Amino acid sequence: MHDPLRDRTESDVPLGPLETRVLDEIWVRGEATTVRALLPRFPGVAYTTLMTTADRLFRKGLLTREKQGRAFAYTARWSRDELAARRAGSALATLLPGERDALRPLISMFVDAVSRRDASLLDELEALVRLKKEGD
Amino acid sequence: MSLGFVARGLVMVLAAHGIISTLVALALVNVERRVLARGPSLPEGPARRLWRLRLAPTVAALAVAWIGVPLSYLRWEPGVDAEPAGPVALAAAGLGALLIASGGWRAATALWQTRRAHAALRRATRASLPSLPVPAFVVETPFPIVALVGLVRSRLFVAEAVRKACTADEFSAVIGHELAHARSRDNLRRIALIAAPDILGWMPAGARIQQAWAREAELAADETAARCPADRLHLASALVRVARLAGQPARRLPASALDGGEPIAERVRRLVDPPAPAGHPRVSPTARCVTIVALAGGAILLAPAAYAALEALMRIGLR
Repeated sequence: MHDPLRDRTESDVPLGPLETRVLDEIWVRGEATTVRALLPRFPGVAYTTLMTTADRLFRKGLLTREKQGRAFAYTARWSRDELAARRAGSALATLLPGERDALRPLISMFVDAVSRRDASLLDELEALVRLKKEGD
Repeated sequence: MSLGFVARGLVMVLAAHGIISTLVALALVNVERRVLARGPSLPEGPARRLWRLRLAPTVAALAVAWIGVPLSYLRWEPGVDAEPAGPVALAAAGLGALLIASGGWRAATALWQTRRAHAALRRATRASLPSLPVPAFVVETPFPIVALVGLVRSRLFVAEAVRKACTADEFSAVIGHELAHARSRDNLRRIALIAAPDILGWMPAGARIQQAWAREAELAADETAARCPADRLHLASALVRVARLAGQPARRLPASALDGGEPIAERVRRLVDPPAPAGHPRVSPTARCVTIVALAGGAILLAPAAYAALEALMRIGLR
């Protein structure tokens, strides 16, 4: 299925209150849902408003959709936890150095995201620590 | 160009800033490789020395251009309403203004990036960690992040994966390491380095000093967190554990990012086998006072000649 904004960092896109509620409802349902099926859960919200909101979430890359008869059925592209993890992941991207190291955020990290860490080196270091512990 | 009293004063201050910070920065570039070649020695000393060294051009410019020049200007300027400023002085003032603006831009960008990272980490927060001197939170992130975020009221974020993977002693050593960063206000020191309005901010030498400071700050935090031999081993083993969780860097990196070699290996080896402290001579308080008095006296004696030189600079290129 074509996703118009697949290459964008969808987890970075800010959400409005109605978008958040729609996404929450789709997560609760856990299955492909049409706008008409959502409508009873949003009293006072017009069908067209709900349709526009769902379409906006799709364009933001947070929902996927497929045709069910004449309507679209929407599914959350990520679970709640996956989305949270992706959002944090996009935060992590800012910790990596770009062209200018000076422009990284003001963060002290226990293990930085850029050091070279090969498995054999870590094995060697682990053995070193174990040996020292046994020696003590 | 004919300038009013205040505008002329500002041109003199900015010109002095540009010239003094650039001269001190160029002098630093000459000694930088020798200083960095000494390598780590004392647990806390090198980080502070490197920090002061990097800020030397800014401190010199602040003392001379922003304190000395205005005082001299008010004392010796005849108070004529409009006096000319030559092209050389205007160019030097332009350099000074550019250095200040670029420092401000770097600081603003870093603060904005920090704000973004903080907001994203808050969104990923799952729980808080009680009984710590700074607000601390557990986050759900793909990278095993353990990070202290913020300048003054710092917050600690720890990935759930790290909490699960580490033993209680290792986790406590990890937290101790980050609290050491909080106590030494390393994030505040970092922004001072980033914002420093001098040409080192544009030069590889400046980046090298900053990287060396960051490395020394990590070693100093390790030393503070691991005061007894058992703590040292807990911290060393936590480092290996978290590095394993981190895996390989998330993307191809420029060679400069790896210039520091393998800091994890160096840190673990230093924790397991601490090197004997190198005997750097300590400056006594008396010697420090004498130096400050001598510098102040020298500045007062040289001020008329320095101001005359600045006045002469203002006239270069004028008919």
